[in-house]
Amino acid sequence: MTPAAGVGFKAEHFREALAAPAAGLWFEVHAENYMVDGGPRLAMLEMLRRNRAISLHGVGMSLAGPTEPDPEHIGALKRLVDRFEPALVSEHLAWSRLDGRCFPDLLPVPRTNAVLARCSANIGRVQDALGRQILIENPTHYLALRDHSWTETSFLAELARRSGCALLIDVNNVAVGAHNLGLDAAAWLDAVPADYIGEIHLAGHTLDAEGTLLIDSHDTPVSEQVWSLYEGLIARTGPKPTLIERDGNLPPFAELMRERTRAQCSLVGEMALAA
Amino acid sequence: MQPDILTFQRDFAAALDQPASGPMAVYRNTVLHGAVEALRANFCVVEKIVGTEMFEKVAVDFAAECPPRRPILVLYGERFADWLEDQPWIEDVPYLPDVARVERLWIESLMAADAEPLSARDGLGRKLLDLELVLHPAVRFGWLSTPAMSIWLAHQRPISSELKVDWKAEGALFARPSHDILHAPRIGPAAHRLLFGLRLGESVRASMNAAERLYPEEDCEALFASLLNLGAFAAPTSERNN
Repeated sequence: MTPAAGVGFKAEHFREALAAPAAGLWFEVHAENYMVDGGPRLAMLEMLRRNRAISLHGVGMSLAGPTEPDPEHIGALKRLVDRFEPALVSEHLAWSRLDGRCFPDLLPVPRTNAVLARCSANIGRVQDALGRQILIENPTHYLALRDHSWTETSFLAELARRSGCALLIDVNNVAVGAHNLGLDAAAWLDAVPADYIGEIHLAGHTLDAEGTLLIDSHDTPVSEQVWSLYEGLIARTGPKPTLIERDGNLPPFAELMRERTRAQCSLVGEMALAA
Repeated sequence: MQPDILTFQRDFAAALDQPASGPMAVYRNTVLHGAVEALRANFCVVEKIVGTEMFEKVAVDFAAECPPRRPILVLYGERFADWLEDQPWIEDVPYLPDVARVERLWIESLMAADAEPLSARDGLGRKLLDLELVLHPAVRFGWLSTPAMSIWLAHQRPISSELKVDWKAEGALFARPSHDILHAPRIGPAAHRLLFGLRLGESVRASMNAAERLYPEEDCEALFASLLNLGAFAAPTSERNN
């Protein structure tokens, strides 16, 4: 995929998304929302992909779980990948399944050698089944876990080196986690090897009711701080496919496209500099 | 000594089930929010009936007792109707579990596999009577002891008006012969008996005879023809023709 900016696709925006003339525009969907046997949802995605590249973003593989990923879930993802031929397929460095229960969240793990080995093997299983590389997204942080033996950026880089996966860097997650744990977001981004980065996510956040924690809420426009971190990141790495994510307080499609245009202009600027 | 992943995750999961403040509250709220929003999407008429505030409380209680077992939340809530039946407050809204059952049929029909429906044009004529027809994969139907399908249908109208329903048992049918056509009629006991028999593998003739004996006032041949026109049956595959 030529590095261009995309938008998280919502069914409410279907007609406008289909008609949008923007060059290079692509769409990302949550894979789990399309893991059904048939019907209007899949038909909609089928129409969308006729003219646009799509990206499948999984939230339920539980790669950092204590067990191997569910073969049924890998099978469901493979059926989508085979049918829709997405340009990108991504998942998270997180867990969401335990003892037969599913948590609709991306839960944290201590970055130990054992977790590194487990995640790396799990990513390998998924990549082998799909016959392609996947990207792994850095999680948001709210809680300072003890027992980390790796920094997050060195852990992600080692995960990519061992498993052959690429990294999806969510700049908003970095900003939110840096605020909540008292880290330096720009230094964090500087420490990620550029070659491993295959996609970037931009989203909005909100302050919690007590006014202390930032929440990765995806229900506001991308903040100026995140835009500035993003521009700093691509100035170093060169242009990378970039997604505007919005899940709550869904604005009109045109408003998301304005954010997308801003990202696209940054990417094109970087391409002009690189040329 | 580092804890193993499993111990860490079991402790974390146990903490998610307890009321919390600070960071753990963020995780707990996200987990509950995910389940509540999935239920809201799948049971929108139940939400309209009880109101947003009550629905959220009910959904949180359900999510705590019956948390998601699969990561595919578009199909979450399989047990919601039966669970509603057991709630102490349900006697104030006795038809609510049936409305939830209708919504479940609707969601299952929407997400089911696509297939060519059998058409009267397939030229099977009287031969149809001796076939064991296969229901179309997106057909869902049920019999409800309350007029829950009438209530569901009234909530699909764009302009809400006062609801006048005949307070008696009725059937619900969802047929989706293509990805963009959904038929959702109320059905009577004879049509329900026909569908039920056909699903069990009776021939068309056997289920029609049974329905005629049980409901002599009904024109079962006409009922069968209307089910056929709704796309309730799957087109025979070449394998079945051989």
